[in-house]
Amino acid sequence: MTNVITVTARTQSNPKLEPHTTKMRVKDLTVCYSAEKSAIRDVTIEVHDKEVLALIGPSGCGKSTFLRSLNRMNDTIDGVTVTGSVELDGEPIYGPNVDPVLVRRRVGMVFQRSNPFPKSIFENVAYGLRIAGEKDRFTIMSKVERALRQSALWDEVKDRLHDSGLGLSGGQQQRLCIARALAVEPEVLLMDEPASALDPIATAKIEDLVSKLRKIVAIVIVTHNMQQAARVSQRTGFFYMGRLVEVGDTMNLFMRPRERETEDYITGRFG
Amino acid sequence: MNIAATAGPKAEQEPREHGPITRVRVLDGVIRVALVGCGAFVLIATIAILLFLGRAGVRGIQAVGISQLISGVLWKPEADLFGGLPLIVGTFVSAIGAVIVGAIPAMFAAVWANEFASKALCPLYRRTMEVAAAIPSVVYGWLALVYLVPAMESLAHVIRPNQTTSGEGLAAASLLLGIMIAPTVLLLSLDSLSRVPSALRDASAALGGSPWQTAMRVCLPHSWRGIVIALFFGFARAAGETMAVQMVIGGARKLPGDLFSPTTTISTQIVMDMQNAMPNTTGSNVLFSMSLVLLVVSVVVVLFTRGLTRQGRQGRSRRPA
Ligand SMILES: Nc1ncnc2c1ncn2[C@@H]1O[C@H](COP(=O)(O)OP(=O)(O)O)[C@@H](O)[C@H]1O
Ligand SMILES: [Mg+2]
Repeated sequence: MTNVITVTARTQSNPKLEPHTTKMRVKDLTVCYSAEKSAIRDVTIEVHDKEVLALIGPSGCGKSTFLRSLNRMNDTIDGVTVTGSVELDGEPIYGPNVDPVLVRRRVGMVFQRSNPFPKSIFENVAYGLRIAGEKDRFTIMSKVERALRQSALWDEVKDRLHDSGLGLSGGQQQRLCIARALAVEPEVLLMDEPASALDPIATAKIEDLVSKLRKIVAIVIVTHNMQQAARVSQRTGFFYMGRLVEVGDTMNLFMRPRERETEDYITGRFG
Repeated sequence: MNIAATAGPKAEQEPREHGPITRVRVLDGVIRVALVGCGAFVLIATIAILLFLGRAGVRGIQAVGISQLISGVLWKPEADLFGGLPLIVGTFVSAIGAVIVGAIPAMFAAVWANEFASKALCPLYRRTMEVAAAIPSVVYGWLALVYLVPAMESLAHVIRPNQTTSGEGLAAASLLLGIMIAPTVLLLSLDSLSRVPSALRDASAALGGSPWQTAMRVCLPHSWRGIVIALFFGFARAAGETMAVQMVIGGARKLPGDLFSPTTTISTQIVMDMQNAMPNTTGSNVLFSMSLVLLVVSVVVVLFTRGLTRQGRQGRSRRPA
């Protein structure tokens, strides 16, 4: 246990990795829900452009908390304090003059349980565009169609765009939520266990989608499923008890973990 | 259902002897008869009231004529004049006024409390409103008589300096009723808003929705039925309120010249006239005819809210909002 406290994250250098540009840079991030205890502590990590970064770790280790601090969703919870810095394209998103609402338009989010609005499929996807002030019907229509195509849902719903989003299957609802997030053209997409409530076939579709989407948006995906992390991500970070134990090339992390905790976790000795 | 079936599960817990089982069954039978009796009593009382109200009310209408009762402008039972228009106007204008000055602001206050107030403040606000809703109406009326009526008098002097007024009238009644119904409307609206799943708020926030946009585009559309029900409930309560209104309405049995002139309402007029109305006289029957108007208002509100509730339940599961 004492070992965990002293461990700091190490980024493994891997010559095989493609040259990358940094999309987000997180430094010494600490998030507390109450004064006594931190949910995550001193997390330092980068999100690269055009990559899928997977975050794994046992339940309660702070993955969701970390993810929600990347688009300032933690601000909606009373009493949360955030220290350290998070930069998006080099600009601090917790800066004094930064509007969290605008951050969230650039860093989208898909939740664990699909949460479509009780509106039509079309209006679900158009929502983000409308609240951003888009009025032009043609623009909205074309962006909705593009987002639905990107999320591989278009062919299934194109004849019933005005039916309720709640009438779709669970997997379709989650892809609708992905389409809704993509419609506002975010630069980063955060996904918190997006397939954990779905059956294997729906899960496979989401995984397939995630692999494809990284060409248009950087993705950070939380998963408790290590096979899933291995299938979809280029890099993986391992969280344990509020700390980022290590982060690196996905294959390396699973084949040759640096840290003892990582090895114990991926070999199933705990969690 | 029979007694044996009701007693079945309990009887099994008892030792399998003849005595205790019988005693339990007898007790069950007694309780059952008592409960049926209570249910029947309430039902019979309600039906009796409705029948009586309907019979007396219809007699009143027959005696005076429906058109005179609804459109006559002079209410003077001592001269056998039963023009009900001032009463009806007083009731509806003061209740609609209360919805405008009290219920609608209360609705927005609920949006504020649920969407914008901090998680510590909202419960405090709710408790305060629960207390306000529990204050007896006579207290509201008295306070209004002491503070609101003089204030209305001053206001009337500013607005129309040439006429005298006591400050009593529809303005005072509307404001008073508005203050009285606001806590209830607020609490009902708050209940409806707090049923909006937090996942939907999160979804809107994550798409770059400001708190205000989330409130207007997600929370209100999700809970509008409950809020409309709250507004109607507030209206019905304002229309039926008697005691407090009587203290500020002025009691003049004529159509008011403006919002600051004394007038009357159905319920306050019933209270004022009932001492002088002998049973089974036209004067008494006509009062029941007027209370039929209040009954119709209540029935419409009940049917309307039931329709909305049922529609909401179906819509939530199938149709897009
Ligand atoms: N809204 C909250 N309020 C208080 N504590 C929370 C809240 N959300 C999470 N926590 C706590 O923060 C820690 C990390 O939780 P979380 O980030 O949800 O972990 P994970 O997603 O890895 O399961 C847990 O100990 C959890 O109890
Ligand atoms: Mg989580």
